[in-house]
Amino acid sequence: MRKILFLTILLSIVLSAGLYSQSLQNNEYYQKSVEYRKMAESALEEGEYDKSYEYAVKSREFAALSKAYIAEMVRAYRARTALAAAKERIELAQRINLENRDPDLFGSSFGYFQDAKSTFDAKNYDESLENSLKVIDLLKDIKGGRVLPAFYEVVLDKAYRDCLWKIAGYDFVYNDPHKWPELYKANKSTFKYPDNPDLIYPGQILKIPSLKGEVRDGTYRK
Amino acid sequence: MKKILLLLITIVMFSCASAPEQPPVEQPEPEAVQKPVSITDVRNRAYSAMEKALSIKANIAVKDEYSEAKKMFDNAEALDASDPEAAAKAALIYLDAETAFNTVYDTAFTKRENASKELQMAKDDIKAVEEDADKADAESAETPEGGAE
Repeated sequence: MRKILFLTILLSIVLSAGLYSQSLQNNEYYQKSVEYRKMAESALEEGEYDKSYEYAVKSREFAALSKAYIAEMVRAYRARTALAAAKERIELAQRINLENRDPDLFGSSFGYFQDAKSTFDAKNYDESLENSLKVIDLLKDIKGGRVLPAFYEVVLDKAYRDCLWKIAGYDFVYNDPHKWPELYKANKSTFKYPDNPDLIYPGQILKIPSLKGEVRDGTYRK
Repeated sequence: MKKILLLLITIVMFSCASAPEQPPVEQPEPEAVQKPVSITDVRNRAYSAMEKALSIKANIAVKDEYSEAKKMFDNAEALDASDPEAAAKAALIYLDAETAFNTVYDTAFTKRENASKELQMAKDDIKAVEEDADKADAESAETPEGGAE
């Protein structure tokens, strides 16, 4: 029975501690401030006016520290959120190979991102936020989503023989078999028999040109 | 009766002696005759001043000063009780005690006012902190935070 009671008390302490720590209000300075306010009230009640004044002054000092702490946490939160968003943009830029496609844009964005990180680490949250917002703004127009392959390796599949018609029909190529001439045009010069689009060979690498500006990278291998 | 008269004369003499010199001002004749002050009146006034000081806990707030005033009051009471001929002297001590209790009251009152004002400001500051924290909590609840570095 005693054990159950002990566990119940322990559980309630743990739960209340968890809830208590959820709000920014419950920082160390705030708690001290409230503690001193209570002491000031009690001293005032008892006629210890000098002590009451002294405790009230302390309470105000800690309230000011708490206010500053919350403001700092808010700045940190905003900077951290913006930095995470900037990081996402940079990662997307890297995925779509922006570094090669637009080195200037990528370079300046990456520079601001590095500054945002270092200023964040130095707890210079306002500057970090500013740099992150620059990254987000610079990379606002890049599109994410699935990165399609830029090359396709022909395979020998007896049940489903590869040909340009079928390859063009794959969803990661053009999702439209009628576009096979685009593949033929782009790869004709590499064909063993350039005038015959039906003759492709296992292991042959076909270039898949981007038709609508879609981002393509890497080689698709079955 | 002789005792009361003696006391009245002593008080009037004492207060005249300490009054600052001022140019004579013509004043109308007082209509009522001044009532003689008995030692009981003087004691009651001192006692009231003591109770007033106690009402704001001056005995705690300005402990030493209060103790001094109380000592005066107790001395006057002892003197009055032990020697009926020393009534005038006791009355003077009662008057000093009354003044001391009033001073003690004023000091304690000022201290209490200062403490109350500072405490109110502390309460206001804490409330402002709570409002700031609520706003900050609301902001973090509205915008999901991305992965930290």
